[in-house]
Amino acid sequence: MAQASEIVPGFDRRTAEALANRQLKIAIDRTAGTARAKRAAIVGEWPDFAVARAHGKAIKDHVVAHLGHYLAEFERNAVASGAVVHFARTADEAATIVVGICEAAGAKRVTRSKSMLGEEIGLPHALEAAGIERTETDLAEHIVQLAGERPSHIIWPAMHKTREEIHELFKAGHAAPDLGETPVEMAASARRILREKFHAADVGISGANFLIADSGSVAVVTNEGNAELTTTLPPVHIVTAGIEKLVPSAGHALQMLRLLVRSATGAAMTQYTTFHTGPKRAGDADGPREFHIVLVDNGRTRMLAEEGGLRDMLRCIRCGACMNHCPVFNQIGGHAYGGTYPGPMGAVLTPALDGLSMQTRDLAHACTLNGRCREVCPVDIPLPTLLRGWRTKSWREGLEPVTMRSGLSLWRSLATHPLAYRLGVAAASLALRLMAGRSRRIRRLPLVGGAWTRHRDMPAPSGSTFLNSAAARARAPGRGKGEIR
Amino acid sequence: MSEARDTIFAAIRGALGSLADTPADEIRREAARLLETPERVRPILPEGTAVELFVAAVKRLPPGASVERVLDISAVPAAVAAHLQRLGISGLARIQPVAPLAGLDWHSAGISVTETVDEGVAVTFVETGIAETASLVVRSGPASAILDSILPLHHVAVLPASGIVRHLDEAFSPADLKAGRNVMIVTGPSGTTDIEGNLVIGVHGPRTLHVVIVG
Repeated sequence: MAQASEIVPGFDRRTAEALANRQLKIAIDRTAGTARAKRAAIVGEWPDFAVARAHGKAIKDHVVAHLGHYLAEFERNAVASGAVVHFARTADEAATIVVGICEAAGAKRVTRSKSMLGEEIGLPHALEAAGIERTETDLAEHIVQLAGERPSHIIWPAMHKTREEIHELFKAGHAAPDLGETPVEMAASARRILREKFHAADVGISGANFLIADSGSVAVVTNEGNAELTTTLPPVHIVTAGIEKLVPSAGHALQMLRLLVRSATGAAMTQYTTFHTGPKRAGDADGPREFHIVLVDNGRTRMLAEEGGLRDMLRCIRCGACMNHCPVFNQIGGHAYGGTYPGPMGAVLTPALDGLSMQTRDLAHACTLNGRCREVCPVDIPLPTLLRGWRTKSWREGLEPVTMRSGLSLWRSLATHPLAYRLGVAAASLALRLMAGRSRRIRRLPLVGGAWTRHRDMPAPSGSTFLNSAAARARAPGRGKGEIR
Repeated sequence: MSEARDTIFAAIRGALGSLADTPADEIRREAARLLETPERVRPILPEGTAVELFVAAVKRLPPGASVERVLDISAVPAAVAAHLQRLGISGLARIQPVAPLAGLDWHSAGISVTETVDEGVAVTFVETGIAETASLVVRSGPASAILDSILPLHHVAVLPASGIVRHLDEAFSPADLKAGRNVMIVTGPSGTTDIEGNLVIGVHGPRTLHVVIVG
């Protein structure tokens, strides 16, 4: 199997590549556009969606505030059901545990149903390094695996692929040169190929959407049914889950599910919602004889320590609505973000998981602070605030480039010296008007301003400065002193 | 217990500070309060009985889902045969070996019983249905294989009218989850939107799901 393709270094370069790729924009528009329309329609049908959303937030806040209690309760009940519970502090530790279980079972072939946590802990690579044949069974993950790529969206991993590109991949990957090019024919071909893989697998690996503390159950949702085939046919089922997936009971999980499905795909319910409680029972018609649950920290307890900050991100239920509605994501797609998780939630999570560095500092700047992500977030995560938090941290740790630092220093000294500020702004305004000339548009700015005018014109300033206008309004009759309207 | 486990629990305790000392009773009371007023956070259902709402909800599902109502369990084999005829496929079907189905006269209805389920037809018995979402609650057990609802290309589920609840959160309790390995909520046939957002029905699981409500 092909290895995950190398990620182009540097956010700027990845973004430039993505923007130059016209196929990518077409592919994103087709899926994300449908997703936005369907979500808006179903949320519109529920007058009290805002109440349900506030309630969902309260459930997740409750769990996060008592995470130790629920983790211990889940472990106790899962063990009582016959599950083997493992704990992993890091991504590597988690991947090593999963590979170890596969090797102990003598597994040669594993099937996986889509799990972003599996991507986060590098499971595809770890399985291949151990010489185990890995088959991705979610249709989109199957496409991504055939292409030798990584997922570009947490709900639609192949969002970046047009149907024409998928057709070419399937003709080659399914050894079916005559394959028809409709989505129905392509899906039928994948069904034939993958059905054999399901039957042949020694181990099935899934993620978890919810960990139910009071029963020790693991809930997994899919629309294709691939998770059920992955987790029922092989003799061993391994779940990998982040510890933030806990909920007190199935009742709480179902309430969260109502929000998750509507926000993710715009449906009222997923086609398959399965609660796994332990391995096959005595006399059961089917099910795995071994059931392992690997509970992963990988930075989550660090986030938990940041009350009023990254702790809020532990509410995330991975619906993908923030990226579908993000103007930046819709231009550059998921791969440009360079991490496991793209879009607004990814820009917040990636530095939390991988550390803030020269490689991850750019992500928080890939945001217009328009706030749409927070509006559509089913658990009201203050994503713009958390992104601003990363910008501040990046500044404090000296990760911002020299141009940014010197520009902001200049700005600060101007802003704290009113006379210099007024003179400076008046001079700049005059200079820009002269530069614009009669067209009142500036085609090329000097120095760092060139980055702006490379892709668009800059309008000339209108005339009066903000401070002059404000002062004039304050002097006008009927207005309070200094009041700005 | 493992070192990793101890480290994680210690990190949580360190991160939460005094919150980590909240008595378990208090946490349980708070969790219960979060489910106290479900009517405020449920989608509003139209007027009608649970059965009427369930039928209407199935009709709103994507293509491949269908529903009919018969008055008595003895009418099920003929209903299944007619359904298979409408699909244009032979009367070969796996009948789940559960009491309500096993005793029926399939032969006279023209149904040949087979053990093969892969890509074929399976008729299963489901105790609980959910009107809010047009869902079936499938429980694993000695006679009820989970795969009977996933491996076939065509799935027919027999559901007693008395087993239909109105809301998703009324479908099962924590005790239900502990009672068996799997509780699977099935809502319509299998589907995907992974190719440019186009809905395709029948990608890994069944392409059609027909519900026969009895009573």
